[in-house]
Formats: sequence, structure tokens, C-alpha cells
Amino acid sequence: MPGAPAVLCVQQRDSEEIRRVLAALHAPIRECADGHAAIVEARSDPLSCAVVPLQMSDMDASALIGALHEVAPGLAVFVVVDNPAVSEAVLVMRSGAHAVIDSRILSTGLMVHLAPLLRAR
Amino acid sequence: MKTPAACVFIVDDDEAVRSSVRFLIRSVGLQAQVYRSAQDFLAGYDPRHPGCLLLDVRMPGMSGLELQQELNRRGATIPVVFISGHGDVPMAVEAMQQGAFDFLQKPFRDQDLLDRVQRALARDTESRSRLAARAEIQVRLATLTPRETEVLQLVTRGKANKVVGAELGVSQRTVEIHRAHVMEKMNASSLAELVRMVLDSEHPTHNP
Repeated sequence: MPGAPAVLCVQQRDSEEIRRVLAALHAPIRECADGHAAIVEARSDPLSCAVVPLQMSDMDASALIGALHEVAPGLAVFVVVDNPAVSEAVLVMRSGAHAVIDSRILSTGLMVHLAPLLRAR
Repeated sequence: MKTPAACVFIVDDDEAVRSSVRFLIRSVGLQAQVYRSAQDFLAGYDPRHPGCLLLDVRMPGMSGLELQQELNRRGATIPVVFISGHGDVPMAVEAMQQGAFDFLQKPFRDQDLLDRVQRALARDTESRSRLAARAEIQVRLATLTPRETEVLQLVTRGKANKVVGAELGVSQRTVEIHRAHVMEKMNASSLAELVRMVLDSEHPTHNP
């Protein structure tokens, strides 16, 4: 859909898999290298949501969620975590994440969480 | 009416868990009430009673997550701490998405549970005092005359008395008198405080 807000993907190890899923969902994608670049992207254009890893080269997911919500209040941020523990997932959710996605089931997790969100927008 | 002391409501189908958690909560001087099912809790729950809810996720009949949904549907603000022996990440994420205060896996250290309970009770106290403050503002707003309400709306949008007077077709002096009455009735010491009160009453979720 032309003009639809993009999904922002930050420093993803499995970026090819994410691209494939987002292509299947017909969602435009913008990629950036780290948290600071993500904040710049969020300032420049509206986003439909963001997919971020738990730890980036310059900040962790909690810090980035806080910064993104400063510039784009309510932006849904999905945090991809390797084999997350429940306590870890709870901490990430408490910091304002929309959902935690287990990297072992990345495609399924993205489909489950992003599809309804992208449909609603 | 005197507000009852905060209570920790414990809902778990496991008798051993109910007893041990109740003992732990009472050991630090807090009140605790136990329920064997979500239905029992709903039947006895009074939302005016301050406290927090320790809730098992998996129970026969209505599950913990279903109870949380029902409380959300009823507009209850009680902080919910899930305790689960079978918790997985999707379940924890769902609970947090629905507004759970925290999610704790069994087995847990006593102090971890007590820390969460104390934080949940503090959250409940905060949200209740915020709601009470909003209700008080609504009561004060209801004492304003229609003209005072018009003046309030215009001055809190940043309009000067002269402009307000022109818009309402009255003199600047009349606006000043209405404005003084508004400040007195609203118990506001400054325009900034008045604006904050109006924002609070119009957007009750802007500072959850």
C-alpha cells in the first residue's frame, strides 16, 4: 500500500527473515543501524511500529523504547529476544514494549503480533 | 466513611499456596484475604477496598487472565501481580499487555514477592489519590455558574481578560470578577494550577 507508514527495524541479526515476513504482510520497512539512528527515523516520519533487539550497540531496548515514546507516543515497539526468560520478558514489557518476540520463532512471532496491528492501521 | 486498610487479595486454587502466601503477607503486618477461585473473588470484591491482587494464572473455571479481563471490563484499577508455576513468555506478555502490574514465577523468593506486593500497594495508593483528586476537581467544577464555566474555558486556553470579555460580550472588569470567583471556587492559586485541573478533568488518562 503506497504511503503506508513503515515498520522500523533496528539492528536485527535476522533482518532477512524480517524482510520476508514484512513483505508477506505488504508492510514497507525502514532499517537502521542502532538506537540513535532509530530515534532520528522516528522523528522524521510516522512509523507503524518498530522491531528492536534486546541490546543494540549503543543502548538497550528499554532505553530505546523510552526515547521512541518521547518522539512518537504510543508507538508499538516489539522486542526480539533470544530464548527469553519470563522475568526478562516481564521487565521488557514493563519498560513499555508492545510485545516480546522469541527469536527462535521469529517469523511466527512477527506474524502473530504485527499482522493485527498492521491490519488495524 | 473511613477507608479500610489495604489488603492483599490472594486468588489461587492451591490450598498450600493460599496458606503460605497469606502467612507470608501477614508476617509483615499486612492484611490478606484468600479466595479459592476467580468467581469467589469476584463475588466478594469491593473495588472501594484498597489493595492489590495476587493471582494464579491457571485455575479451574475462570482463569487468572480471564479474571483480569473481567476486572478491566469493570474498570477496576487494582494492581494485579500474577504468580504462576506454569508461566511462559507468551502468557506473561499477554498478562502485561492487559495491564498486569507484574508477573512472578513459582518458586519465588519470599522477599521477591513482598517487594512486588509493596510496589503494587504503593501503585494502588497513588492511583486512588489521583482518582480522588480528579473527583474533587469535578465537584468544584460543578459549583461554577454557566458564565464562570465559559470564563474558565477561555482563560485556560490562554486568552487575556480583554479578549474573553470581547468574546462573551461583557466588560473586562466583569471577566475579572468571574475569574476571581473561578479561582476561589476551584481553590486554585495560579492560572497554571487551574489549567492543570482542567486538563486533569478533560483527559483523566493523560497522567495514568
